[in-house]
Amino acid sequence: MLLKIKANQLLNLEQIPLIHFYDFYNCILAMVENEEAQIVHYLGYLINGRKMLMIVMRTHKQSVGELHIGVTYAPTEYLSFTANHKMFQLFEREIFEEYQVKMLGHTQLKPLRNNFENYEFYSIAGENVHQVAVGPVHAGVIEPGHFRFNCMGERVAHLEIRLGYQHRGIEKLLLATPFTINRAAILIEAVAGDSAVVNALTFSEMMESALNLLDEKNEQGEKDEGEIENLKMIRTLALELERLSNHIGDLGALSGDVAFLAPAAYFGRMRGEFLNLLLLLSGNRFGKGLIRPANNYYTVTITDINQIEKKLDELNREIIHVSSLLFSTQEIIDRFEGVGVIDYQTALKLGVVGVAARASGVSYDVRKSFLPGYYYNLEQQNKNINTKNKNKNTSKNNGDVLARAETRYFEALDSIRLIKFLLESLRKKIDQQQMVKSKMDLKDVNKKVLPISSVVVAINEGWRGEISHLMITDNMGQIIRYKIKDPSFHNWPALALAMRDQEISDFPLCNKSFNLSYCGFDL
Amino acid sequence: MIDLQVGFLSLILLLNILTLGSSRLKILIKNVAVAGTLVSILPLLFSYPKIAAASVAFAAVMMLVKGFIIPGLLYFSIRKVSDPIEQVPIIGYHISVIIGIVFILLALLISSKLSLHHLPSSPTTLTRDLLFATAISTIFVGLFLLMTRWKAITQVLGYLIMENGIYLLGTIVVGHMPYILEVAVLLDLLVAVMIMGIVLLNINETFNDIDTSLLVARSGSGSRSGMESESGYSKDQQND
Amino acid sequence: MMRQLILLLIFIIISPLLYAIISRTKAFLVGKKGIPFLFNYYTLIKLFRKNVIYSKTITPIFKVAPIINLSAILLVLMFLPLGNLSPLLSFKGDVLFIFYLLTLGKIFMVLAGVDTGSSFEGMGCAREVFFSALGEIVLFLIFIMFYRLTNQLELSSYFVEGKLILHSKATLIPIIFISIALFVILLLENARVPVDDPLTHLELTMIHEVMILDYSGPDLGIIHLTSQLKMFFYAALISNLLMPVTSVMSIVPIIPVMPVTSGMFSVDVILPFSQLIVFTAILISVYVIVGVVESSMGRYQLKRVPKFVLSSLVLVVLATILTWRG
Repeated sequence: MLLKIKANQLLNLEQIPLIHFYDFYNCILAMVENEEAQIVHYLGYLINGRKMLMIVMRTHKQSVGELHIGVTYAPTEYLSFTANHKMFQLFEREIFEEYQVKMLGHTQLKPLRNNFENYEFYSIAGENVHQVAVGPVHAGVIEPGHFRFNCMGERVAHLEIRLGYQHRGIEKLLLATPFTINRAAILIEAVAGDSAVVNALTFSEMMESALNLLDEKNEQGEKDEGEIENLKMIRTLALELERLSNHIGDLGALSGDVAFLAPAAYFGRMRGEFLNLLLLLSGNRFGKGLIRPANNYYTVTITDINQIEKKLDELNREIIHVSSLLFSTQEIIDRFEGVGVIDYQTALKLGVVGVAARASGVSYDVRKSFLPGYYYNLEQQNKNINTKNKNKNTSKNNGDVLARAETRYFEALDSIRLIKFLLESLRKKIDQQQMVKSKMDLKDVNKKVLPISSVVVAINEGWRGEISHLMITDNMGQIIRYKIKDPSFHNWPALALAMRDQEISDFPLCNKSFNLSYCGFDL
Repeated sequence: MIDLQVGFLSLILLLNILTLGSSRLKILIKNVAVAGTLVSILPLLFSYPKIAAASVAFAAVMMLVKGFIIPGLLYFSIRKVSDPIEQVPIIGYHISVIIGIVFILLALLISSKLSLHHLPSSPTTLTRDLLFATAISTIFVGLFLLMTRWKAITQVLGYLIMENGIYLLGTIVVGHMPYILEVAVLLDLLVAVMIMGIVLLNINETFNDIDTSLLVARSGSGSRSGMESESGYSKDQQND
Repeated sequence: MMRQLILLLIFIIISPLLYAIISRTKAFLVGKKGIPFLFNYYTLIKLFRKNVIYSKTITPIFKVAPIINLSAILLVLMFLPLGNLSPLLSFKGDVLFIFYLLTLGKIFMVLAGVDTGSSFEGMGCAREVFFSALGEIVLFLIFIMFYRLTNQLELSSYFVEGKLILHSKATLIPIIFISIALFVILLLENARVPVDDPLTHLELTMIHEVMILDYSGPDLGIIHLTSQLKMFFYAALISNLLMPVTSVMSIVPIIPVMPVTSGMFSVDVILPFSQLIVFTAILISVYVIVGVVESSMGRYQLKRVPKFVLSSLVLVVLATILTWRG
């Protein structure tokens, strides 16, 4: 009963069946229980003065992903999904906060982001139990977040995470003034600075399918397939570079947290080198401004390609070298092993995505399941990502800190392989002026009008996990809702669960092994 | 030569106590290898001015077997084991170490009451006492490991440590063991370890783990089934 | 007397410089340049110039604790022999007095940490007290062994003129074991890796730093100075222990150990100045070794630290066994 759609497909609101809430509810439950569906979006929106609920779910048939979308009128209250399926927890809290729909039976129905008054922490009563409250002001200069532990001595019985300190209201800001692509792109890149590339990419792919930009004909009346392909290749290059730099930075931070200073120093330096490669591509180290709908403002020359390739070869050797130091020191393995475990069943039930999911054995990667952007071509050429770990002696995928560290290491190596292949392909596309032509030069892109009454879902694999944007427009082409869903939205509850029955002094290690976004969550 | 003898003996004592306190199988095997090497060189030290070529050769063979071949065999057999860490034993690690120390003190007390005059070239009573104490405490540590640990590998290592202690005791009592006897003992040891290694591999294949407590509980059932995945998600199986 | 006072003052003044050696070694080993050697002095001067802020929930103990800690450690340093020269003060039983002084300083810091009412500072205090209790056992055993060997209860008598190693029956191997055990205690008491990471910003994993999170200004400067002096105390103990080894020729263990009382290398003939140079050299190498150990190890999980201390206990017991009967 939910409509099966493709990612980045422009849909008309009429196409989506408006079903009765009873059917909506039962259909979702059936999908979750029988087909192991996971949530991509679950949100409320207001159209013509009526509150509606929309859900986008994903299922997998032999590692090919499918999206299902459904819409219904929002009731004032209903029996919460969370009582039986924990993956709905934060989504329902968000809908409660924004649209005041009450979910009965949701034990933690509290506001999610604007939560500085009337927030009751879950507390355990007992003689030996004490509460430890950490943050939002921490001893080091890190992002603000409040962690409330209920501990018995040094063992954690329960952890509750309260965020929202960096809520900037980006979704409201996007709709505050008449929508222009340039302004929106800058705002969206600011959601989370370390995910600027993937957010911009998702936004651009969404706009391109909404406005049908890639079908534009140039002056000769032909579609320039070569330029479009170059555009996609450069975008994928930037995405993989971002992934690489963050994974390497994470490995360094993990070593620093256990006071193993040598790899911390080396990995830190290497992360800087990867960011410098992004600097070559886009003029700044975080790739901001590189990716825009149907436009690329930076040219890639042959010297850039040569430089990137040379650096990559060097850094590939260094990464393998330093990681072998990290993963063969027995004390460090002792620190990482068995800490912060999320097993396979829990990962599925909570809807964990990204590195954390793959480390627990849930092998879901958007690049393989939905083939966005250039990954489709890579799959055709059989060069897409490798989902099996090459080293069979390590990475047992049992969801502890060691598994997450090793997963990052293998993904980093895989990214390097992908980037090298992309560079080779780009080399073949060099034209006479020694650069790769990918500027579409659509000057009037800002004047385009969005289609009326439409819905687009764009999905991509950021370095943390699955990122998805959803856009709904009304019958005048104004955006009613632009929803940004960061992968951290799925994974924060996993961190809270991973800390149960662990030592409290292992919390920084667990936190760093997930490395979730505070500002991506807070929006 | 006092310092070297005392040094070797104290190193052996230290290694024994570290073995009591360690929970990682690879470290345990390394400890036993080093202790075996030291034990095989020790008789040479004690007969310092008059070292026969035969005893050097014998010491070399013994070092090879105890320090490299047998630990190598054990390393090979635990490569297939999924979990190279000992479970929490019946008597915990800290207490094991303290018991080991207490026993060394007891052994010293006992040895000071006995009078041993057979040892060639041991100028001080300290060395004589220390040798005796090391010998019986090594036997004790081996027995202790055999009794209180769960994994089959650690029990094999306990047996090896016991054999080291018996060899040391032999050095004291006889002073100069006939070589044929020692070679025979060594051969026995080698065969015993190989058999234990094979048994270990079989236990591991059947139960996917070398925890001997499983042998008691599961004496009827066959292999344990691994986790199956029912869904479209492919659960990455352990590829061995 | 004057000479010893001046010497002590010199060492007190250079202990921040020595402390910087650790950071420089760590930086060197990972390819960084590291802080300037005088960095700790700049920090101290900066802190002493600042204003102090007290929270509203504290009692006078909080204000008084840093001073008590500093005075305790200064008094302890007056009993420490430097480079085989006898110390300023010395009386029979001063070994126990030193212990109690060190513990007095520690207790006041723990009380001040609990005083702030913060839960993770309380956790840090609990860890600190637990680990110090373990370390004390080892230190006491070491001094009991020294007492058995020399029948003296004054700290100076163990190290002045190398009585311990030359005139008693202690030979090289027990000294090595005791030095390693003392080094472990140094790492424990001064909160270095692998017990605690002094550079960490994660307050849930800290032991020492979390107790002093609420201090500011001159109080914090006093605390920094105290920790540098404490490190100097433990390093000096180790250097004192290792010193007579160099004045006796028999580093190589093949040659049997005999007390050397005649000849050019007799202990009585070595000039105090050269002793001082040797002492300082060994002191600096202890600091360098701390830096090397810190760079090559990660820190242990907190529940593994008792095993670490247990290993030093084992070493001390073995050393006692080896020196049981000559």
